[in-house]
Amino acid sequence: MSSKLFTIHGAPQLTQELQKKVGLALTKKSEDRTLLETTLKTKAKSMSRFGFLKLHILNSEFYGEEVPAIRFLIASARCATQALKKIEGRFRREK
Amino acid sequence: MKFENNQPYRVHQFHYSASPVDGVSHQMFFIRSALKEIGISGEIFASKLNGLSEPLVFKFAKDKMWDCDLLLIHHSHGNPDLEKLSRIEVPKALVYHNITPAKFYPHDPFLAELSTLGKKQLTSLRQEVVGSFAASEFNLVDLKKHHYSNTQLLPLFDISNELKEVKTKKFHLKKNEPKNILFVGRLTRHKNQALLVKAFFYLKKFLPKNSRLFLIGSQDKTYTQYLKLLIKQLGLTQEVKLTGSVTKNSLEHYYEIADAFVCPSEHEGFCIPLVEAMSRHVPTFFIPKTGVKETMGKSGVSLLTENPMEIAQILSSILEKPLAIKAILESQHQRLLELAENQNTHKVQESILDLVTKIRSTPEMHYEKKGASRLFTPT
Repeated sequence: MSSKLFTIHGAPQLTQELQKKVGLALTKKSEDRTLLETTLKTKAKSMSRFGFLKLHILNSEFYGEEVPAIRFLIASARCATQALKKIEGRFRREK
Repeated sequence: MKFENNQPYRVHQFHYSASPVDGVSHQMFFIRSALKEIGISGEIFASKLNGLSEPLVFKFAKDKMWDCDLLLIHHSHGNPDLEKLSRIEVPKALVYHNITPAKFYPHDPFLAELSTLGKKQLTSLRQEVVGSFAASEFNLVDLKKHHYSNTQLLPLFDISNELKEVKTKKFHLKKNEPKNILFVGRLTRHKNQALLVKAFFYLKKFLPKNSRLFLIGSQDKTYTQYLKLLIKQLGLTQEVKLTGSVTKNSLEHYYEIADAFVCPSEHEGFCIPLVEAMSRHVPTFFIPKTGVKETMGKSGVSLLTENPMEIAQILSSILEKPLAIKAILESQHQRLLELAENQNTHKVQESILDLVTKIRSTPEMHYEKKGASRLFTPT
């Protein structure tokens, strides 16, 4: 970690002191960095298959972040919104 | 329409939509009450009345809007009624609130279209108005890019009034007490609440049990669906609360229990909730972008990263340091004093009175009669 992560305005010394502390803590937790990504890519037990797909389609729609599982789906439907409509229709039929 | 010089001044306002919770409506009510104090009457008109009714706000009707010296047109997105509005031959001034770029509406072609239309209309409105105001410096810059000249800042509210209403907050700095993280703003892509949810995923581990993230505000349907799915996937359904719109009293309660206000927003013209948080002594963290940067000035904590884990680590380290909290609150108090110099009732009264007086004393700025061509030179 090299660049400055935050500024407490009006308190440069405190910023510097806490910056070091934060930097150190982040170095120690380097293995946690991918935790969010892994959690997002692995379907949670409480999620339905439809919910999981929908989350990632919307994630792609809003933030342009795609997981490989839906990349093909979106590409074949041309855009995320179309993909969402497609799978919504499919799940409705399955019900 | 001409007025005799001894007649009281009258200033109407228009915005395409009005609601009890949005910033534009907030400013329209503020302007009306500020002008009333100096004897200038006027009504508020809107095409869409969301949760408001007459006489607080009147439904847009051309034939009710003639009897004024000045019509303030508030502009924050495309206005499908602008053409009808243009036909009302009264002097008009623009109050610009910034337009959220279309890129933030990938899921909603209607809103994306309104955004694009709003930008186009901003250019055409220049030919229609005798004066132009903006709700923030950030918006003033945008107006100048659209070749508006002599633009002025028009306050959104009176900060001293805000401060009068606030009770002194009791700060709990006990390590083991649950912490409450707060953000207030419509659940929508450009406010970027997803980043806050992701940061809370990490933050949860650093904070005492029963700590919460409260996301207050009305909800964009699709983005809210997305946030709910994200919260479920990250296992945060107990900790993250999407409250929807809340009453004024309820909002005060959330500010009262908040240990930190974190603003992840990517686009704001000016961010009123940040001022509310500062005036209620809540330590404020923000990503310094667009009008957010201006609102905060040199106060609070600028987050120079958008990595959720890093944000979580920063919040956790600062929140357990009383000296840091003290420094943040002091900087915020200073910022409120700075903002109060411009954000006050007197400034609204002065700016509008100045313009209406100029209009009355300059016949070229009037419309002579219905159907006559416009006689004034645009600013």
